[in-house]
Amino acid sequence: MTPVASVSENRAFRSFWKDGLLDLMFGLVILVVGLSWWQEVAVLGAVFPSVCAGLWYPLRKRLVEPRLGYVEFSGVRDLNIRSFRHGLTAFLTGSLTLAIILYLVWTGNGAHRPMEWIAGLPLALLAIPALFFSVFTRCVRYAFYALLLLIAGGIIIMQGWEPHVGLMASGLVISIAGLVILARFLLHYPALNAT
Amino acid sequence: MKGAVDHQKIDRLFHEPARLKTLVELAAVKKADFTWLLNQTGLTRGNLSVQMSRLAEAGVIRIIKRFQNNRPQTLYELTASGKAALLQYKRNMQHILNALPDG
Repeated sequence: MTPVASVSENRAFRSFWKDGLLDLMFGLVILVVGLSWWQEVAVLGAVFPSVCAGLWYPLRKRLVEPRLGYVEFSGVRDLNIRSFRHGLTAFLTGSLTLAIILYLVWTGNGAHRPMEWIAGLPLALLAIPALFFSVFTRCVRYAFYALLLLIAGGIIIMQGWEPHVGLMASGLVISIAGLVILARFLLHYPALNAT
Repeated sequence: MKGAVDHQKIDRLFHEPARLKTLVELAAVKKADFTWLLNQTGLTRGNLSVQMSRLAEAGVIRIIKRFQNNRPQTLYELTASGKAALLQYKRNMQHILNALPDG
């Protein structure tokens, strides 16, 4: 409407994402991918991200909306939220497919192990959606998650560890951060619509 | 006097702080329900309810009642005339405040 309204629109849009549910799901996806890599259950790592992306919206409707309220943003933002779910599913599925291909290359032929830096690639791939969330939601914490994933990838390469160590460690940190944010949100926002 | 603002033009409906806060929040979105506005404005339920009724009576906002997942849902949105009047209020206030010395 006006420059003043756009400032309040940005603030309102940031408020929309303050519940921590997305953080928790993102962390769980990374953690489960790490676990599936470690336990060599590739199917779990492939399926879980899509399941999480599909669960986000119904969970948000049930947990967050009765507390934070319902809002429809105008024009482009509204379109962005609708396309966000599809983009999230496609991006996570694509990233994880690449990670699984890497895993199969990694474990399939011991004689031709890939170059050392490839060990950090799954974490770098997962840093891309974190950066995407940061730009889309205008929440700085997702940029920190991206940084954490990149640092974990660097440590993996330097130490010569397997990728699952970095995936599980960073996934655990992001899951805990998401859980804390969600718990604080649920404590501070009673379900007003449910009464 | 050139550039002077007729103070009678300041819309008193918008000038009340709680109503103005509510309108700014509503102008930032397309539609919102009572809970969203309650959280964004920090007003009490009673105060917000009174302000919304007053704004609806004046035709500044529109109340949309609908069912979602078999539950009643009340949404609020600014009307076109309400949006125009709010912008006019902003221009008038800016005009007055621009004359205020900084120091």
